[in-house]
Amino acid sequence: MKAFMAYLKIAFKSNTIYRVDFLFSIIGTCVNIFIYCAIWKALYGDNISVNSVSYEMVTTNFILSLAMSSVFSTNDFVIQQKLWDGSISTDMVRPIDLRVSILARDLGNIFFKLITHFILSVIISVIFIGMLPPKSFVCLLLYVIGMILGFCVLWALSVIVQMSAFWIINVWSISTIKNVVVNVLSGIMIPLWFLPDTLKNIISFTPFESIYYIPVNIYLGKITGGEIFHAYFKQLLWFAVLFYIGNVMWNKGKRRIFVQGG
Amino acid sequence: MKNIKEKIIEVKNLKKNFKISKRMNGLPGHIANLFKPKYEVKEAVKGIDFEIYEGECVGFIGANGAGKSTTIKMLSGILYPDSGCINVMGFEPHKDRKKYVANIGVVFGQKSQLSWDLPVIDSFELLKNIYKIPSDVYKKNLDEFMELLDMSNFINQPVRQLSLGQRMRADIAASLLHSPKLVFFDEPTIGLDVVAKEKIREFVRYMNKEKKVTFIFTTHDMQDIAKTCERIIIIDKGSKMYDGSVKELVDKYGGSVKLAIEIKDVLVDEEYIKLLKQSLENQFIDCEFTIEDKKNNIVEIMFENKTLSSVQVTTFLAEKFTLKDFRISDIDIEEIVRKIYEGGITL
Ligand SMILES: Nc1ncnc2c1ncn2[C@@H]1O[C@H](COP(=O)(O)OP(=O)(O)OP(=O)(O)O)[C@@H](O)[C@H]1O
Ligand SMILES: [Mg+2]
Repeated sequence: MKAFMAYLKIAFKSNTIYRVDFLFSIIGTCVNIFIYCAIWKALYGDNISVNSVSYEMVTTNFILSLAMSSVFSTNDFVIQQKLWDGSISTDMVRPIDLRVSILARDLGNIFFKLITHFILSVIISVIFIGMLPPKSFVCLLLYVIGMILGFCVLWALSVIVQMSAFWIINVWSISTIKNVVVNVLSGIMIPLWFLPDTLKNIISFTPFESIYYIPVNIYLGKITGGEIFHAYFKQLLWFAVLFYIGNVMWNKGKRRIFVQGG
Repeated sequence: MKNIKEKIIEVKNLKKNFKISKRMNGLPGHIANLFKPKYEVKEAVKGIDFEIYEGECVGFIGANGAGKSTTIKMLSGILYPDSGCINVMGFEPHKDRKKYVANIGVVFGQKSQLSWDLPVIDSFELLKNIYKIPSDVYKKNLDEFMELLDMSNFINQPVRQLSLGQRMRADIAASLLHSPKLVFFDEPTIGLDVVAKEKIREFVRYMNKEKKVTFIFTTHDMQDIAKTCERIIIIDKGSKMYDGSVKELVDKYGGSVKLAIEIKDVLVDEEYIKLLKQSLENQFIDCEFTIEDKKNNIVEIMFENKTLSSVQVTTFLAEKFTLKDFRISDIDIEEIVRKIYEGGITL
């Protein structure tokens, strides 16, 4: 645990070194939010709601999902990079599971971004665009739990992509495909409410709605009561399945470790 | 009381192959690569056996590409061996990796294991947490290494700003903070100046003698070997060539002297060398001489000095030739190893 916290702290600290980088990525997130909100505004025109979904709900969905996705920093290229530059050897001689140190680093980045990106972009959005408040304080708490579980699913998915570096030389293509699929099917780009029922049903059998769609709906109070636990269970189940796949890949991949350079 | 040392490493018939993809050129070749990649198998380590006992300091040498780093990486649990077995302190490195690596220290000279962006001390703190080093042990070790490796003036600098020598010292200290009993160093003196090298050798010697740390290290600098190791393992093309004490190797293959003479007035050419060799062989029958033209009118003559004393040879040369100067030295380990690599000595 101490080791975990130490890795986490280091990742957090490293973020503070590159200040310009951080400034630009906040600007990027905000620009993204403004552009999408403007598009939705234009699409809505004078309508108050479309399919009983209000403009505010759409923007809230978008702001929350995008803010979450900018915070949920998982880096699909960690293992590939380590294999490329040979630094995998350093990780292998430390008495700590590689995945644990990757998670600790991710969390370090997340905490950094949470207090910078997330809060900043939500504040800016509330002021300039207007965003619905959570349905209730309880909803906010339940949302946070859903958000954490959503991150777990996203992280397990990223681990699978990372592990594929043991078999393919460049995980870039897999990572891109994954990101597009996540962006579309988890409701960042188009709120899942607008999709036809058949498509929604299909998506509900994939891990993607667990990532952003479920937490946002808890926030908005669209998932309530017993459904919430059903939703949590779904998220947990997907996490378990994806983690298991990642684990199998890691156990096989370890045998294929190569060290480049020296 | 007889001191029976415990076996710390046992390696049997260790093998490792690398698959190297063989690329064909030209467009048809590129397309063929996509669908049916071809592989070439490179045998990096071809069945090595050895045993290492507690408290030893063993030098691992061999020409470039001999398989030293590959062996070290298998011993430290990074690479999976293809076959054979490794037993280090009761562990099978790649299988019990997490438990095992808590007991060893590793340094790869060519690559730092410290966090690039952070001050050295922060990396040390991280290691303290990773290895769960008790605070008092950590402090004691840190203070000691600070002094022995002279690190106090760069400990707060980020690793990316350190010179190679400073970085190497930091890396070495990092590998020993958790007081491992066994340490692997892969080229710890690569690229360092004479003074820095000497400091590291001194440190290794101290840790080995006083702290009873077992060292296994690879190097291309024979001075490292001469000054720190009692035992060497020479590997060549993935197989073990020699395993034994440094002294024995020198005694057995180094029973020769090297006589360097500088010739006055006459220009040394091939003819001259031939003449020199002829007259030496005529004078000292049954003795073998190796003569090398070292340029600048300096000639190196090597001969075994079991039957023939260097005085005899020098006197003879001084009478027959016009010598300006001469120097006698023993053949050192460097020379022996060079000959082994070149195939001049078969072990
Ligand atoms: N990742 C790899 N992929 C393919 N071949 C490799 C790889 N690593 C090493 N080899 C090959 O294995 C052989 C042994 O390499 P190794 O690095 O163990 O040599 P070494 O004895 O450490 O040499 P040096 O003194 O130059 O460091 C070399 O022929 C090298 O080309
Ligand atoms: Mg090497």
